Amino acid sequence: MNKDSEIISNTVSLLYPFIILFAFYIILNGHITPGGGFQGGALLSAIFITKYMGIPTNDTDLKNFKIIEKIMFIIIMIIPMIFLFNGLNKKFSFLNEYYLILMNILIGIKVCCGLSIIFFRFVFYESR
Amino acid sequence: MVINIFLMLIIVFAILSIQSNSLRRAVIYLGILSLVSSFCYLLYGSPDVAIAQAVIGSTLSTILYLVALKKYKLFTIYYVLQNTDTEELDSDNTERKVIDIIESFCFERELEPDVVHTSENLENIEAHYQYDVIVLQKERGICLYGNKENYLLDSLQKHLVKKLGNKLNVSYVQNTV
Amino acid sequence: MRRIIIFIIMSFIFTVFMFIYKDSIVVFPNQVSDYIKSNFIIDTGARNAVTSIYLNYRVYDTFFETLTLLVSIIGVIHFSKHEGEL
Repeated sequence: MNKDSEIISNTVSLLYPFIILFAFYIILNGHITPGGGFQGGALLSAIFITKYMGIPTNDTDLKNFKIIEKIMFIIIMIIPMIFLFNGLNKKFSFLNEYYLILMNILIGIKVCCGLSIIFFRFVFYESR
Repeated sequence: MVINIFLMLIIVFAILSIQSNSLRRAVIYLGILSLVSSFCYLLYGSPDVAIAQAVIGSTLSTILYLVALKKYKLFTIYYVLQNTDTEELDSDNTERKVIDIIESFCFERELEPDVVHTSENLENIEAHYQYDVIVLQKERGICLYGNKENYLLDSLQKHLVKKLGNKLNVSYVQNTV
Repeated sequence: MRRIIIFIIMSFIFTVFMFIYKDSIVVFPNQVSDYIKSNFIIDTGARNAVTSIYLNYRVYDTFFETLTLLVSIIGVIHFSKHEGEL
């Protein structure tokens, strides 16, 4: 990981959109095909890691990531409490698929934020 | 049949990653291990776990370990080779000995040795490269060049004298930057 | 020497385990998994059984998984050095 490696930065910038496409495919088709929120979120955080390998500058604001992650955690706690524990999934059974898609997206965003916080914190703030 | 081959490969890479001397090589072996194990999950019929294992174990944790090893301190040694055409056998022998001793010193201090053999001039290396120590081989001895800020050089010189004894005379030059 | 002793002990334990479980076939009573496999499409509307488990049948697992990730991030931020503004 040299700072001025042309080959790595060019290859990474070529691979960038394909990783985003694959991650969103895995998240949005989590209820049909194998995959789901956690795997897609990890792939989304791989986007930030490849960005670091291409351009190793500290310009991402971690504060937004932390706020987004906490809000996502609260929403993830609230939605199943309303939807599942009150028995709404038996009454409105057409909402089940949308519930699964929504929860996969929320879990994906939360895992993406969490893993990229860990990575950036580790890379930029842990100096020796 | 295929699953047995992959299960045996898991054991082989686990033993290799424990037994390898270099940490970087062990990290790469661990990455291959998790890739093979994700393929085993796929053959057992659980593609969800296989995707999670391939993403987490083989990509993210490998990159995190490699970044950690980059933060880990590197000790760069430039070994200057001069007049290699004459007395080749003798010079080879002392070179091997000196580099072995410096590497054992690095393993004691938990540093990662990085040995570069060059045939360039001393002034050129000092001007253009980042180095921790330059070893220059003379007719009956070796000479160490190092920065004055580097606190490890004193103990390195003591280590060299202790290990080599009186066979080679070690001289020692400190540059002021 | 120490490695050889450890290797001998581990191989001994391995052979003993293999000898004990040589001809024992464990059959679990598959009631819950049979129920889930036969009913998950009607119950949850998902076509992937794993998703139906971790988002509908066992939601508590997802709750505490996300909580574990949050706590681990708090730990990482707390134990790394405070140099920047964060």
